[in-house]
Amino acid sequence: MKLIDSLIRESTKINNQGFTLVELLITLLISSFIMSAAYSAYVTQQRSQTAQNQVVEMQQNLRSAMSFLSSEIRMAGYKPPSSNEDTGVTDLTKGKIEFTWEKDSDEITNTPDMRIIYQFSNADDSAPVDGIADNGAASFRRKINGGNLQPVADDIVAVEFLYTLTDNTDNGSYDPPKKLTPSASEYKDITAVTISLLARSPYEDRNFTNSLIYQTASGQNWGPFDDGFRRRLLISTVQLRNMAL
Amino acid sequence: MSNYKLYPAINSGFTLIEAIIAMAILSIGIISLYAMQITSIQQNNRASNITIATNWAAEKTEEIINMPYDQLLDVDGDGTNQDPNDKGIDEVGGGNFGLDDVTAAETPDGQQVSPDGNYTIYWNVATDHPIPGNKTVQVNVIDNNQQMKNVLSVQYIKEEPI
Repeated sequence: MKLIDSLIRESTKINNQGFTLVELLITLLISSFIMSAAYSAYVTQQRSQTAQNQVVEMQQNLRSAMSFLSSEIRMAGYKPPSSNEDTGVTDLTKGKIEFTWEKDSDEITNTPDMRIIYQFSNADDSAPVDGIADNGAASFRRKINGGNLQPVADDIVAVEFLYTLTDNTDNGSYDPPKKLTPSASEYKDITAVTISLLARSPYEDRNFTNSLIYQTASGQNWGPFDDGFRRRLLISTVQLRNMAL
Repeated sequence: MSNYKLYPAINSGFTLIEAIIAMAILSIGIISLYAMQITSIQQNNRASNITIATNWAAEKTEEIINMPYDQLLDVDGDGTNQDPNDKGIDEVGGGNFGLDDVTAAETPDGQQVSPDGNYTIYWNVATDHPIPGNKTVQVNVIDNNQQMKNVLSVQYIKEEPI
């Protein structure tokens, strides 16, 4: 018993000695390794999460805008067989499209029921309207029946409408003329519209430089912008199958 | 005093080796979080590629809708007369009426590279499928940079004008 007691006393004596300064410093050093690793992991993941959030928002914006635009432009010129109203495209430039279609054969109003315009607002893309937002990006807008221009999609950098006309030259191959600004007499010959839409992320990323050049359907180049915005370009062709009705 | 016997050597602490092992295990956990981020970036990129590929497929389909019925040709013949008993199953070739063709060996009925060179658009025609008097056209888009990892397909059935 005496031996055990002395052992206990011995061990409790050691237990009460605490840590030396060197031990504490080593612990601090090791834990600082862990902390710095955890912190840098947190920072990189935070950065990547923010960037990916922006990318998702941009892609979503672009996809919905394109699907909205193409499904509505597809209706251009539509009218029921009983209607005698004059529907079709009415004002076309590379940055603006205006078209009409008739919902029913109601001839009380002599104008088509739907007159739709897609363009940037004049404040965002001042004359001459080139389809490129003056301040880098703006909301792309839609106007219906003489109302106000309402935003369809935010953060759109630029838009281009390229119009395909019927191939009237008899040279053995199908090579229809394509024009950015057709004249009013050519409106009835338009068979398709190719939409090029360039969207960008809502916020700039300081750790990223965008030096890409985006080529539209007509071959005009957008960029390089050399800034911190990520961008996506989408090109889609809409056949105006209702135009010849 | 006899209580002390129950807790022998409790204050011996960790050795440096133990601490290093713990750190190694922790770092494996942190690295797996990086893998999560990388997957998320890859999948976002893939989503973007699928959007663009869908767009090309839709564009080609629009073109096919406007093409005359007689000009939609099954060039390699693997979509013609493959179903003698009209059950809608490709008994002769054993394939899918050649609709899934995307490589040169499989001889798709038409192909086109997107203007930016990133996507190849293939289309295949099966005549009198699913029922006589119709043609099934399948547009397959593949990503030339292999970021999308799969083939995007759109099917359209065109009827013979009466």
